[in-house]
Amino acid sequence: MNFDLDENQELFKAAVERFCQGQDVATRRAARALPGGIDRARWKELAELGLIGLAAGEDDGGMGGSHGDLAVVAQALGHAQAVEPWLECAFLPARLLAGSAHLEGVIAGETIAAFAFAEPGRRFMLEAQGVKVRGGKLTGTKQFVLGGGAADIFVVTAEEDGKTGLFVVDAKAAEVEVRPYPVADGGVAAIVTFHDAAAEGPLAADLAAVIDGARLMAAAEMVGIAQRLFADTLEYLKTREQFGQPLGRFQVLQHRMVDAYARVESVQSAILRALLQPAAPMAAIKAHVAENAIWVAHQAVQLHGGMGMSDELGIGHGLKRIVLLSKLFGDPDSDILDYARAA
Amino acid sequence: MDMDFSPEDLAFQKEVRAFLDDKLNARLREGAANTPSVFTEPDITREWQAILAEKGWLATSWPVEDGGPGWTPTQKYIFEKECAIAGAPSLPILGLRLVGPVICHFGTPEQKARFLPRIISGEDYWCQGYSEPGAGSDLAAVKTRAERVGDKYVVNGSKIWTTHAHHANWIFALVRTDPTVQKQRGISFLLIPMEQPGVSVSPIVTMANDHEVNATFFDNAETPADNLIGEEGQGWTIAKFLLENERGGSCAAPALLAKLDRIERWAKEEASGTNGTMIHDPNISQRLARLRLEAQAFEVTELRILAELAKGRPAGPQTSLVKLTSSNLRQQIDELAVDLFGYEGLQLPVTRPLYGNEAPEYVGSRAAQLSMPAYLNGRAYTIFGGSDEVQKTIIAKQVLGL
Repeated sequence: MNFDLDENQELFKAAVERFCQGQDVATRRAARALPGGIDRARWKELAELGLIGLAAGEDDGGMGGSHGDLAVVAQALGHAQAVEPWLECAFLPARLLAGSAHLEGVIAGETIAAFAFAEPGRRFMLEAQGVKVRGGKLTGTKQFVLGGGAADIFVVTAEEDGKTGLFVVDAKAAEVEVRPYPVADGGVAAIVTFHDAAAEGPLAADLAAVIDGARLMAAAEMVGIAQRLFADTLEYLKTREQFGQPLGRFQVLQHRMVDAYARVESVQSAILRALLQPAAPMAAIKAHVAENAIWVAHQAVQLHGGMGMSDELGIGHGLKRIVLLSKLFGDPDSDILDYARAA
Repeated sequence: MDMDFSPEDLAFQKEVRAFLDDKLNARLREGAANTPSVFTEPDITREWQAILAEKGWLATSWPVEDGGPGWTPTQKYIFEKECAIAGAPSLPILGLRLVGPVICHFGTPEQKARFLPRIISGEDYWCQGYSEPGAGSDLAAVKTRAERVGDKYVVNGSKIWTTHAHHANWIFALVRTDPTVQKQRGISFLLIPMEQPGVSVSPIVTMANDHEVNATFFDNAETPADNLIGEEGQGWTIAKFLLENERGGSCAAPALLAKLDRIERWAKEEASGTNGTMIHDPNISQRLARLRLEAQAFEVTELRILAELAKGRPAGPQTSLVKLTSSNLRQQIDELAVDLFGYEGLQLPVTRPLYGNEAPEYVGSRAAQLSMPAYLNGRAYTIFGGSDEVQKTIIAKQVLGL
């Protein structure tokens, strides 16, 4: 038994830390303010560090990273509070585009791909209904397309012959209408309407397996953020003085932090279990991580007081990213209910 | 034992309802409903304030001689309840509910004559200078210094979380007039005009993208010595009066119940993704049911407090639970709203307002667009006005005797 990171994983983690060095609230805000919400130069840098290619198979010119390797990256990005939508625009496309010629540009950081899976009125359903492919042309509307404001191509779930398939559509095509809108974590999503747009596909990727992988990555990123918020709050309680002593001397806050500590350890263990147990219930584990991470983030805001409410600190940013990830491909309530029913 | 209002009170309720039906126009309702921040902006509140002032129903917590309507505690409760149910905008409470009653109680006749009419007319817009970077929960640690120089005070220091300071022309502040005595005893309650070179305001944007609060800086700001309320060193007593005045009867539950009713309506329309609506979702419906039971019980707690006040008896110790209960309930209700809307609950508009022609386009519904900023801003309910932790410590000591 061994829970240590291996040599390569240590390198990936260090690469993320290097990538995020010097990034703070101001630089993150500047990146978010760019059209589409993604800094293309930074994205290229992420690619050059191999952090996009790591998610792609070796046959596709990637590094064929395991879920374990990728979870290390996701957790480190979470801990550093990176604004780059790695899960949305690197992990997902790298997996979904397996075997596709588009992957080369994605791995190089030149093509930004966004995954269009959510449909209005369909909540968390993954089966495509309103978006259809007929004779190679794709029609219908997707929403909550994360990274959609910056995308060069869309990977779209669409119904063809009664089945949900994955198709690639050029984001700049005249038949594609993109309406960006801001989302909780400061990123930009889009409502995308396709009017008989030319679609390539279906792609070969196993959608269910990719989504489970994405759930694991979301969980790992939440763990990283929760650890960061916990550490920042602990430091704050040791330094902030009220009533003539550090806040951390108050027993009620000590106990609260012990509860937070227990939850942070629980979510770290939960993702290790997700990685190491065959056929682990990813959605349920993600739900467990999400509920605990949200609790930790709420406490981080509460214990920072007014400062925790402001957009000037990373605390609120962490809460918002956790809340967004908690609902990606299903929210905790629905995932736990599904898990209970399956048992 | 009964929970009924008297025939006179029911008649008053009818009068209030008729008034609200008549005067609460669509713009005001929309402005109130589509405000995700804690306070409603002056473009909405000023209009509502003028309507209430004309009717004489504005300064409900003031004595009659100072311009109050002379209501009983029950009438006051009924008015607030009907306003909440009807979706009326909140009012600029910093003047009307906070500094107003202080001036009524501690002010000289000159101060009353000078300030009170202008609160009612809306000519003066007030903000509160309490917290400082080094004095949050530990409010008695305020450092902002006011020195008496001739017939004025010269003020230096800074205040933080000053709600609507960017709209205000006056601030009431806790300032240190004597740094040599025990910390509570060196504090005074001072009124300072905002429109002068020595006062500057810088915005603090919340994580929900709302600009409600600010940092306010005093750099040799001046105010006439006449603007001291009470005496030097009496500031802490006045600050405590202000808090106790806030606790003299409350009406928080009806707004919470009204929000739950709205969530239920939205749930009946929100698609579940499987050919039904979210009202049949086991998680959403159970959370709604639990919150409603708790809010209904809380409504009776508030009525128990009201019943004591109506009999002319002091309010019971339950008053200490009002802020704690209402803020926690409210946060859970706001979370439920976000969760109801699925992916659409994750949109977070950057611009304001979310009413009128300037409102940004929404995804799904306006209610969905409002849910995330309301939830994020609502995290402050357990922080401001005495955090949950401070409240619990006070209750443990003063109510439970621990």
